[in-house]
Amino acid sequence: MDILRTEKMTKSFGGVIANKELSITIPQGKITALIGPNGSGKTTFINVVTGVFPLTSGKVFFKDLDISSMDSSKISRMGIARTFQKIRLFENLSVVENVLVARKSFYKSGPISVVLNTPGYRKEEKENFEKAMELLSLVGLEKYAYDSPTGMAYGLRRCLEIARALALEPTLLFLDEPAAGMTRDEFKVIMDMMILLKERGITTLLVEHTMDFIKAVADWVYVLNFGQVISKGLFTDIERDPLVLKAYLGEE
Amino acid sequence: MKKLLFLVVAAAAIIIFPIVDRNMYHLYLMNRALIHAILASGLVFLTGFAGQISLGQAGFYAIGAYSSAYVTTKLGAPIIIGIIAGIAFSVLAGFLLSIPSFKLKAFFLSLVTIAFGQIVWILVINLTPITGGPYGFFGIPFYSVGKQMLSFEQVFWLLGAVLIFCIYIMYRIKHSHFGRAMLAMNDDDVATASCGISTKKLKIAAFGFSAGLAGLAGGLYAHLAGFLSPEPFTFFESSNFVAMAVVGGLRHMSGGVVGGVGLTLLPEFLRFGGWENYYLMVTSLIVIIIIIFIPVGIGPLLENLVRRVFRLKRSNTKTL
Repeated sequence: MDILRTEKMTKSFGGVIANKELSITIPQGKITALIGPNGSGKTTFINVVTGVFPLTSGKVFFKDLDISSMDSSKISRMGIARTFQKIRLFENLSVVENVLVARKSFYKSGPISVVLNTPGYRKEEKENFEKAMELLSLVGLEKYAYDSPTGMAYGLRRCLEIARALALEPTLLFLDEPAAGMTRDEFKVIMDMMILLKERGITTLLVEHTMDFIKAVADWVYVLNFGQVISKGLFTDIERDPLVLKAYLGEE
Repeated sequence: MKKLLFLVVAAAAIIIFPIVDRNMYHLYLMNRALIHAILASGLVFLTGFAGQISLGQAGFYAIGAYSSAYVTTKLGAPIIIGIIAGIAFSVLAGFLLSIPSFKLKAFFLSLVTIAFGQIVWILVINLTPITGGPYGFFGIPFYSVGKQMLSFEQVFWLLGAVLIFCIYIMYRIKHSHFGRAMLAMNDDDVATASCGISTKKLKIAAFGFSAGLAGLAGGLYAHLAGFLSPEPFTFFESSNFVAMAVVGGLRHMSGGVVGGVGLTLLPEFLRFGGWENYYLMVTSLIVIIIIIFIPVGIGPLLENLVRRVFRLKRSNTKTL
């Protein structure tokens, strides 16, 4: 069963075609990796599917529902969460508040209950706070809950962004280069987390350059170059594909 | 409750002021100051919390003032109905003005809001059957209970209560899931949308709320002054309101109150004999100096002073 399917999805920026008639399927409950040289359209793929950029043509189906023209926030509420290649945290909020922002769609209280500070609203606030703290402890950040994320180490900021994405209770998670700029110890943490998420039934699409990482976690790999799929399969097959080697290393 | 200490101190000051200072002109100025504080608080909400800009608040102020004046004078409704009508029309206009903010940011959004303020101002001047145009709108009823007119002191307490009520609502919203979403949008709207939050709805709500406060301020002003002319609704006033919010502290609950009261009273302190021509210039100079040297605003400094006096923990000036 496929959780996400794109049909001839194209995205062009003026004359530059970043994604050219991409037809990609992401199997449910697995870790799929999307690799390719810089500028091959990996991040654009995530941005188009999550509604950050409108697509030029083609269609995107999430659980057989057409989400091609949906608003980014609605797509997120349907259960597609993501992190960003360049970390985007809310610097003016504390660590736990960053996670709580992504819990907003689980609140039922309207502005009147908020202003009256009703018991129902207070209960909701408490439940969501506990959920946020639980996610922070999953990524090992509970002791920083009330700190500002601004001064935190790069690896911790990355973990916070993942905790925030998980706060949406997603069924599909996009991780855009989670291991970039991380030390080996740090990305071991992320790797373990991804395996844990897989056990919990969350499907992951991973964009990554670190081949050891992909080899260790990915069930299925797509290779992009110039916005098109040039190869797909198990990592062991991809590794030896001459087209892939050519895209990465160039021709002799 | 400790976080609301600032409100308690403000409430105490509002109760005591007319008892200590019996000067009628001072009281009139303070009434104006409280009205400006309500309006500037709306801008703190819109700009400091939600990250949107409005250089057209005088437009909402005018809509609130003239709506309330018309509904009470021409239609004979009680003042409270007039003010509610003023708020309603301003909120509707606020919803409309939020639409350009879906696409536009910063500089471009501020141009649209300036244009909005100008449109309202031109309507005020030209819709003479409704607004009285440049000749003014006369005979607006003063605050009263039954047939008994309120004294200036009582009006001051009434305005103070309205201001504190507004700040309390803002405080509650800021510390809720709505407030967090707004602060998040202020930082990064793409990331906010990726958290499942509709930034369009938030922008509509933020513009509506700040327009509502400006409309409320307008209605309160109309019944205080008893007479409306187009002057208080010019672009100059809109930028003055922004200056109040910035000087007070854009990101702080107390910012609108401190800035609104401070910048209303500041020119009065500078009226030295023989220097009348320069006091407005000096006021502007002081505003510039504060913005450069105290960019967080005067509000958080005062909040910390209050906390120190009551021996409470100092707040983090960045995130309160």
